[in-house]
Order: sequence, then C-alpha cells, then structure tokens
Amino acid sequence: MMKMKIILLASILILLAGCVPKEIIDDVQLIHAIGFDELPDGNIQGTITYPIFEQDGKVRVEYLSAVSHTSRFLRSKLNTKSPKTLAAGQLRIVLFNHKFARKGILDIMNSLYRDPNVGNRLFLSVVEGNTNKLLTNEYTATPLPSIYIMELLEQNIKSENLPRTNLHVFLYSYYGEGIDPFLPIIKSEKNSLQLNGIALFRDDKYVGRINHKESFVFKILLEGSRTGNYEVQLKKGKRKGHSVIRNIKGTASYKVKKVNGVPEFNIKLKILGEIHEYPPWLDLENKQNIQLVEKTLTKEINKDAKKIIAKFQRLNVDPLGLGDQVRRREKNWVFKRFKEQYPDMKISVSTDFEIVESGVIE
Amino acid sequence: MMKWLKKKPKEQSHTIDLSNNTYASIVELIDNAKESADFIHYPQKTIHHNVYISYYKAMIDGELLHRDLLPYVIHNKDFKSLKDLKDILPIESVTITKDIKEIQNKLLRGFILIQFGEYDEECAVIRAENGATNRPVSVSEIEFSVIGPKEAFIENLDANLYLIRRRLPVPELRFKEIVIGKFSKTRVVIAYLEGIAGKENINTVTQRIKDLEAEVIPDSSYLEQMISDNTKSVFPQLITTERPDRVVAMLNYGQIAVLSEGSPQALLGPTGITEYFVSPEDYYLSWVLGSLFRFIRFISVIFSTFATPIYVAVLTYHYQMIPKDLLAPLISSRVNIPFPPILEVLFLELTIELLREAGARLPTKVGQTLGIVGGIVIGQASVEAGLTSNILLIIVSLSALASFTTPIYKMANTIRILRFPFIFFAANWGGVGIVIAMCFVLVHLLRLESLGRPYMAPLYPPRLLDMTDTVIRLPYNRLLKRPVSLGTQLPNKNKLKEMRKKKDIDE
Repeated sequence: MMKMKIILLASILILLAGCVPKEIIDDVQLIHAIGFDELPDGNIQGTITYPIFEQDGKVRVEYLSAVSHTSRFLRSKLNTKSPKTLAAGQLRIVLFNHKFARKGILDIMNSLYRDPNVGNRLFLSVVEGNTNKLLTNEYTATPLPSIYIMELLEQNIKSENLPRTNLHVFLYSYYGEGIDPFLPIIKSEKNSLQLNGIALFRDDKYVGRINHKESFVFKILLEGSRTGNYEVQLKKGKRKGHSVIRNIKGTASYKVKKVNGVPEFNIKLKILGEIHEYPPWLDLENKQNIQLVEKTLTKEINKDAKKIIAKFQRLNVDPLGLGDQVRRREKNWVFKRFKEQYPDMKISVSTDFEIVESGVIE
Repeated sequence: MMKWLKKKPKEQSHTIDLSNNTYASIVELIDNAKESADFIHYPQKTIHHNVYISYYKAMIDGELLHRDLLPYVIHNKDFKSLKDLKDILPIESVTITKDIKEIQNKLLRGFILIQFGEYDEECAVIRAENGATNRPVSVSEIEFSVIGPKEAFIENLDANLYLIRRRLPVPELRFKEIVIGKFSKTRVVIAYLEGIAGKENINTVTQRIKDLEAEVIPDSSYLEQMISDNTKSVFPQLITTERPDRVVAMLNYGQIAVLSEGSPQALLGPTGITEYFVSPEDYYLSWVLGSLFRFIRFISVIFSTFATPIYVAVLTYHYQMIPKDLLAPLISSRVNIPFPPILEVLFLELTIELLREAGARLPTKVGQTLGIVGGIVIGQASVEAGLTSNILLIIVSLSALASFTTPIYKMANTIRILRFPFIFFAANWGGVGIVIAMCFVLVHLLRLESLGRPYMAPLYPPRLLDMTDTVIRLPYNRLLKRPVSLGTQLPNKNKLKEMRKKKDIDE
C-alpha cells in the first residue's frame, strides 16, 4: 500500500511537470519598455524595445511597433513580427503619450497589474511628444533607452525633486480614497532625455502638471524629503543675485480642523537647508545676510506651496492625499462629501526655513 | 494486483558456521591446521625430553621465539614439566590449558603452543604476537588542521586505545570489548566515560553491536552503516573521525566512541547534524574566529546544495527574478549554448564529479595534476566550445569548492550528491520544485535519529542550552554545559558562575 502511494505521488509529480510552461531565458524576447501613442484614427500604437545581448557582452536595442484597438492584442500583433516569444517579465518602463494619457490609462494599468509576470516596481511615465520617437531615438548616455529612462527616474528619486513613484505607488493612490495619482513627465531632446515636471491625474486621466521647480515643494509636502535643490533670487538694496540651496531635511505636518463640517488644513513645512551657491557680494559671516536668505526662501517656498495647492484645488485633484489625512482623523468619513468640499477648502501653508550650514559643501 | 510490489518472504540463510567449528580433539585441530602452509608444527629436542612446538608463522614474532623462548626451552635444566615453563620463561603470558577452543583461538591470534607429546592434550600457550607490521602513528590527512594535535588513529586497535587513554587517564574511561564477525573475529571497543555518557546510549550501542551477524568487518565504516538507525538514509548518522583529540572531546561531551580492530577511524554517536560541520580547529582558534569559520561552513553547505538548482530554476522558469544588471552577463554568456540549462548544468556537474572521483582513485601526485588539468582545461575548453556558460562554470566550481569545506568526509559526500535531486526537481518544477525537494529533505532529517536521539537536535527539538556550541561557539567559560540532547548524566557542571570569574585579583 505504501509503495502504491509512492508510485501514485511520483506519477502525479512527473505528469504535473507538463503543466509548467518553460521560459528559458535565451529563448524569450525580454520586453524592456513599452510606449503607447494615440493615432489620429483612435487606434493605439504600441512600441516596444527589447535588448539584444551579444556574446562579447555588447548590448544593442531593437524596436517593434504595431497598431491595434486594445493594448493586450498589441502583444499578439507584435509577436507576429518577433523572432522569439515576447515576454513581459522584465518590463521596466511603460510610457504614455500625453494625449493618450488625457484619455485615460486604466485599461493598460489594469492589464499590467493583473499580470503576475510584471513587477510592481516598474516605472510609469508621461511623455511630452511621441513615445515611438522617444524610444527609437538614439541616446549617447546608454545603449538602451529603457535603461536610460529607468536610471534617470531612479536617480532623480534618490537625489532630486522627484517623489517616489512606480506602479505600486500609482495603483495605491489610484484605488485609495482621498488620494490621486501622479506620474513623472519625460521629454525627449536631441540626444538625451529630460525630466520635465510631474503629471497630475484625476482618476486615470492626465489633467495637469507642475514644473520641476514646483516639484521640490511637492516632494516635501507629499512624503518629506532629504533631497532636492532650490534656486532663489536674492535682493539687497540695489544688488541682485541668485542663490542655490540644498535641502537637508524637509518635513510637512498636517493639521486638520473642522469648521461647520468643512475641514480646514493648516500645513506646516519645516525645511533645513544648506547654502550651495550665493552671490559674491553676500557676506555670510554676517548673520543678517543669512536671515535674508532664510526669509526670501520662506517666502518663495510658501508661495510655491500655495500655488500648487491652489492648482490642485482648481483641477480637483488631490495628489497630496489631503482626503486621506482627513480620513485618518475622522470616524464617518465620506469620500463623496469630501470631494465636493475639496475645491473650496481653506488650506493654509506656513513655512519655516532654516539654514544650518553654509560652509564647506559636500 | 501488482504482485511484484509485495514483499517476498525472507529466505532462510544457510551459511555454515565455519569459524565456530570447534574440533573434538587436539589431534583434529593440529591436523586441520597443518593444511595451511604457514602452520609450523615440529619436534624440538631439549635436555630432558622432546617437545612439540606449533604456531602460525605469520602471526608470531620470530625474534621473540628465537631470543626469549627457544634458548630457555632447549638449555634449561629445570624444564621437566609444562608447569616449569611459567618459571623459566621471561614471558608473563604462559597458560597451561586443555581447552581446545581456547587453544585454537590463541593459536590464531599469534600464540605459540608447546606440548610434550605430538598430540598431548595438555598444552602451554605462550603469547608471541607479531607487532612489527603496524604502521606508526602518523599525521591526520582526512581531517587536517593547521593548529592542534596532528596524531591520527592507525589500524592497530591497541595503539588507538592508547591514544585515547593517554589523553584521559582516568578509571572512568571504560573500554567495553565485543568480538564480532564469524570469520574476522574483529575486536570492537565501545569507549565512554562512566558517569557522563548516557546509560541508555551505551546500552543501545552495545546491544546493536552484539546483535550484528556479520562475517567479516574490514572497517569501522561497515559498523557505522550496520548500526545506523536508518540504513536507507544518505546522511551519515555517526561521525567517522581519525582524530583522537576529537574523540576525547566528544567523550567528555557524553558521546560514545566505537573503535574496531584494523580500522583507523573511530565512530562517534549520538550526533546531531550540526556536529558534522564542526572542525576541531573551531576550538583551537578564538571563539569569534571559530564561530565565523563555522558559520562560513554552514553557508557554504547551503550554497553548494542550492546554487546550481537555483540557476536551473531561474533560467528555465523565473527570468522575471533576474536583476537588470545581471541580465546582460547571464544572457550574453548563454547566447551560443545549444542546450537547455538543465543539460548544461548536468554536463558540468558530472565533469566535476568525474574529476573528483578520478582524483580520489589516483595516487596523490597524479591526482593533483589531473585536478588542475581537468579543472582549468576542460572548464575553459567547454566554455570556448560553447557547451557551457562562463557564469555556470563559476557557480559549479564554487559550489564544488564549498562542498569541500565540510570537515567530515562522509557528510561532504552526502552534500555532493544531495544537489542532484534538487537539480532534477528544479528543472521540472522550477522554484516550486526546489521547495518540494527541500520539504522532502527536511522531513527526512526531522525523522532521522542517531542512536535513538533526534538528528536535528538542538535545532529541532529546540534546546537553547545546546545552541552555545552549534552554529556559533561561545567562549569556553560560557560553554561549560554538556549537551542536554545527548541525554548525558551530568547535564550541568556546577559552580558555573564561579568559574566564569577570573581569580587573579586579591580583593
């Protein structure tokens, strides 16, 4: 009886081996990046790039593009052009043309996050211009445009003004109540790419943007930040000049007060910074001058923060998750009610900027 | 249904009990012995009368016969009866006996027989064993250590017992002798420290060895397999060691050693799986270093078992897992390879196994050359010929290297073959397959026992007190406890706290 069981078990295991599809790494074509464009006739144009690894260790990039009504069928159409089966398991970048993004990207997001092969840490981005052109362009920075975009985003998240973003963050803020998603915007230049601000989404539709300078305060408001640089114009008497300040530690604290059933926000920004560059006429030995820098910065940053928040309210998007802030503090929070109140909500920002270092830099 | 699956009834054994064939009379014994060419039986003239001297030529010390026996027997005037031999010979072991069985056994062990008449029943048996053919105690080669004693056991049981007794000169060290083997009559010694080793364990070992029905025991490894709890397991359940210092340390821990005549290896038990990765050097180095090296050894075992299966699984099924920076080297090294990963891996693993096997069978010097030629030339050539990838070559050779770090040779061999089922499972079911294989191995290990004690102890069942000397080795003043899991009679040494203090300052 025991032996019967063992034989049964062994045969089940051996027969089941047929159920797992083999995807040997050099027999599949690893898609690195996908770009979606909208054609004038309403169809979707999908462009993929995949790396070709040569034996001597060199890498080159290949492109394929196809036109279809749905994103999923694109893959099938692309397969008809590809020498090896296309596999999405190494997908790193998904790009949306800005016109395409204005119409909504949910169907694509949906198929991405339901595919277990696709990682949650993949980057999404809105492109100003044609994604096909962007992906097929040649860049001097790296041989693969996909790796270029990925490293560009990673690097900016780590050391610049870009807040943390990937598929997971997007889906969290898309499906979360009281918070709206955002994506980075990329622009193609002649031989390089540029990060060009942040795209704001209402539901899955691209509705507005903030620029690179504004995303400095956006990052601090969103998640606190220890990175980023800010340029400011200084004025003293008749002399003018620019100064660059590096953020050492920026935090935001949200206070919510309810007045007649409408939440009122009081956001406090606290930023510690370091003077990187300053006009030669400014004598930093003098405390007053440092205070001048601090004062100007406080004013500028406060202005920026107020500006972007006003923009968010005007566009009726909530990438900062203010609704979520209220939800945390309230028992019977109703998303619908908050949405109606949001555009006219009173949101005040106060900034406290402090220069902690001005000497030797880095 | 499926009759061939059912167990066939056991056949009765019909071997004849040759060796225990005791002869009825001394005549029969001597006549039978004469059939062997090395049996000498001749009359010798002495002053008073003739005596008959018989012995197995190969078994006795010829010099002793010529120097200490014959001159006295021939020239001594007092030699009138057999009893006089006791007085005139400068040898302490002279027995007068009529017991045929005893005479037979002693003759075969290198005693000299003296009779008055050719077939006299009363004989004197004089001890004259040949000890000259013993190998001297030499440097341990299998379990080499840089620091610490270099002595290793030899093929002579008494010399081995001396090596142990010299390090433990206490009466509590007991040697229990059992003779087993119908033909070989091998002396097997069970060594333990009375009062420290668990009584239950001693009884288990004694009973298991006594119950053996072997004909010849050429080496203690035979014993090891015969008295193991699970003879089907690939895991060794008793430690085989050639180091007396290890035996002594483990006796002190409460383990039991089994030594057998003609074998340069002692067996130690009951053991837990962690002990197979312990090298005596761990104790000779400072505890930080010792623990670190031991940890490296554990890691290398895990690496050695899982490196190639994971390679196969990832390249066949889970390309999603590969980090983007590793993608380029992995794929570009595999571009021209015509085989799926499983064949590629089997090809290289078998090459390494071949090299290892060939190296082990050849004399040392040829073996070394073979290792270098095989390793470098075959490896490099197979990469250039496009049979295997560069990265796999590194993985396979590293995992081979890692499997050599296990100090106990038998365990190293187990680790060496353990990866093949893993590779097979990985090739068929990917990562899930590796987990399935791991489950099988873990369940097997959990069920395994060494002399009735759990093999996974102290990891499972967890014995925190014993952990002080498993994965990490704590300093000696924290290490005074004997393993609980061995069932030793003295689990704690007293005055632990007192002993931790250093008493050099007078306050």
